[in-house]
Amino acid sequence: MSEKKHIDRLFQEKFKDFEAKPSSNVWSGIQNKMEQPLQKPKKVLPLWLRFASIAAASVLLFTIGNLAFNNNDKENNNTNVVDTNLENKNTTPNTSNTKTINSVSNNTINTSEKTNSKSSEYNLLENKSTVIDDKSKSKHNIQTNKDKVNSLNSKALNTEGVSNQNTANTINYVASPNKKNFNNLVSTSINKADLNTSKDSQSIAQRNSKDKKDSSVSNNLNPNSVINNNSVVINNKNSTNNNTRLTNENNLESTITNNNVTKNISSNSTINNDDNPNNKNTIDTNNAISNTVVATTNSDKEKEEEKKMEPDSANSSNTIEEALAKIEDLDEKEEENVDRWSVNANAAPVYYNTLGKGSHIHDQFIDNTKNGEINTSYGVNVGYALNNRLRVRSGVNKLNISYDTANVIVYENVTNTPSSTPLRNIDFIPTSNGQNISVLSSNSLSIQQIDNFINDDLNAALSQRISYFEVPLELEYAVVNKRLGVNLIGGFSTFILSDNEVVTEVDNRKTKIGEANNINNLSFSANAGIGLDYKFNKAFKFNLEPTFKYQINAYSETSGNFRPYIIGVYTGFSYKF
Amino acid sequence: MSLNQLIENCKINDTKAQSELYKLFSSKLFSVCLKYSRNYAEAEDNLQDAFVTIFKKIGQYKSKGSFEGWLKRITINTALQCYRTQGVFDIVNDHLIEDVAITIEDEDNISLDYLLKIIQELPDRYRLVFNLYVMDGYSHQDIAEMLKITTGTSKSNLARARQILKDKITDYKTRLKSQSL
Repeated sequence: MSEKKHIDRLFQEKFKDFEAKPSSNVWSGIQNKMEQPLQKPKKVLPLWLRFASIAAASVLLFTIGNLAFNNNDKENNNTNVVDTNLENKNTTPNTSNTKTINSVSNNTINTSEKTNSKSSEYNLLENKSTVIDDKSKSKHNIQTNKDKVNSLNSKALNTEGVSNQNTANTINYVASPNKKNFNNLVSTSINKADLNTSKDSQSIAQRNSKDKKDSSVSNNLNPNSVINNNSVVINNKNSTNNNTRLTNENNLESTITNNNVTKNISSNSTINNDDNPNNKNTIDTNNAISNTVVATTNSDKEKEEEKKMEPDSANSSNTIEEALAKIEDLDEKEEENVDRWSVNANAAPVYYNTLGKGSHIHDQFIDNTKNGEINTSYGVNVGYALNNRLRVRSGVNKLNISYDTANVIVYENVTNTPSSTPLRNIDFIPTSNGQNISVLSSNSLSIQQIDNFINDDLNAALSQRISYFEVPLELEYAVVNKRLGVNLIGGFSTFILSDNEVVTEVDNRKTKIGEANNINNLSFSANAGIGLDYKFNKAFKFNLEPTFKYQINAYSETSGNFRPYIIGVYTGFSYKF
Repeated sequence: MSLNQLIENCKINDTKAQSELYKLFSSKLFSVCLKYSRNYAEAEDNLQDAFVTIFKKIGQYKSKGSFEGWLKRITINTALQCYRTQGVFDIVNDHLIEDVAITIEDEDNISLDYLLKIIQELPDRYRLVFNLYVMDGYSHQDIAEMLKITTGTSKSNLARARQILKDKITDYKTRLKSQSL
């Protein structure tokens, strides 16, 4: 009975026919699991795609249409980026007023001042004297620089072509008897600056006109090298770097646009103007003539100050640049920590216009023709992918916009009475001789009312220029996630006002007359757009995003139905890491 | 419906055929799962996963070898997979134990349930090795590859498993005897 058996055999025999019935749960579980993966491949994308394509097409059409229809009078205005710098410098009221009122021809400052006030004769004298001073100095410069100028790199000249043009414009404004000399002066100074920059480094000089950051770098370089020379040269050089930002502004004591960081500085500069009433006229004229002359006059009376300011301004620009760089560094560090991040640098032509009929300036302009202008926006965005398709992004954009109200008449009240009330939404800058500027819609005047000396082309435009920092917060949904991708973008932006001014334009001459007081410092927009991207590889892609932004709370009070919007085609590259 | 026909229908995701196949083989495969698992619930989970794999991969079955063998291999792999991903292999002493013939006397009154119970109570790797070698006829070489261990470890584990099982059976019998006395 006690049969010995190997334990393996025992188990093998016992389990030979072993079967066990599992519970019914198992089968239902299997069925569930089998059904799930079968349903997955069916995707409901086509509907999305259809909507996306419709939206994309409409936004594109809208953009193109707007660009095409509003292109008529825009050629001149497109150069705003550069122009404004100069124009603003000319905005000192003395010269600008006379210009607008006597715009029949290229008036000389001197004659216009005669007509305006007796006291200006004194100014005239002073102007002349300074002019002569300038001349003599500039001649000296010309001679000393001529040899250098000859050896000047033609490339560097080309890059400065834009600013050359501008200075030429300002010279026309003034049309002073010494035009030739001024021309020489200006051109020499430009050349001189070119020379210096090209000396410092050709590449920097070439980038100068294109890249503002770089140019400020070159600015920083210049003063060091030039302080050793005579002070006139210093001034010349600084003045020519029209495109560069920071040093310029401090030296020229004029208001500035186009700069990210310069609001404070510009306000300082206006204060300076007010503080020095004695210098004012000379400074004004000089401003109008060209920055060069301003600098020179300054050097007459304030050589010492100028010298002191020079390094200061360089320093301030340094520190601001450094701060910016630090912020960027910080951003980058944050981004590097986590995966799924992306950085996107973009630039866009933006178009600003309003949906309703109305005016942000005054009731009387409701019926005037108005044009949005095409300006620029540029910035950096950071994105974080929530999942395969959804991405949150934010960043900082610098946005410049401008908006023209056409058919207005600008004139200076000879009598110093407040009877003709200025526009309620504009704070005017008082002129040097305390006179008021008035702006009227030519629509509201009959022909008889327009004096004879005002001819047809006096019809000025009132241009509102605004510069914002934009902080968008947007959600991006990838409809098509292939090499060529399509995204839907929605979100909102916060706009922080950085610069604001009202400029009159007469025959392409632009004069700052004040700033709007009804623009809110903080405003918002609702954004919607379509993003198209092309992926070069896993990390790099090219983006094209036509975006519509409807501004909310932009103005505290407007006339009529003024509802501004912004259309931009944001183009850029993004890097994923 | 022949088995081949059933297989063909399963290949085109015919739910009815799948249900039929399940009815035919679930009991057999569940017994495999029971042996390889720690308990009943785990065995059911394994069976479920095994059948899902079977239905998904049935297109790869090329009528070579027995269909039941194929099913069994998939089931065993599924059970092993569970331990591979869980990484719950017990750390055991790998010193070799002499493979003495362990014999059992008078096995008649030992119930299958009890045998299954003591198999399930074995440490994970002992159980797997014992099952693979004794019940399903894999060589130590195969086992070593399947479990990513050495053949030496496999042999040692098998010997330990046998020893434990024998001890438990002996225990069981003495208890039975003492009860019957």
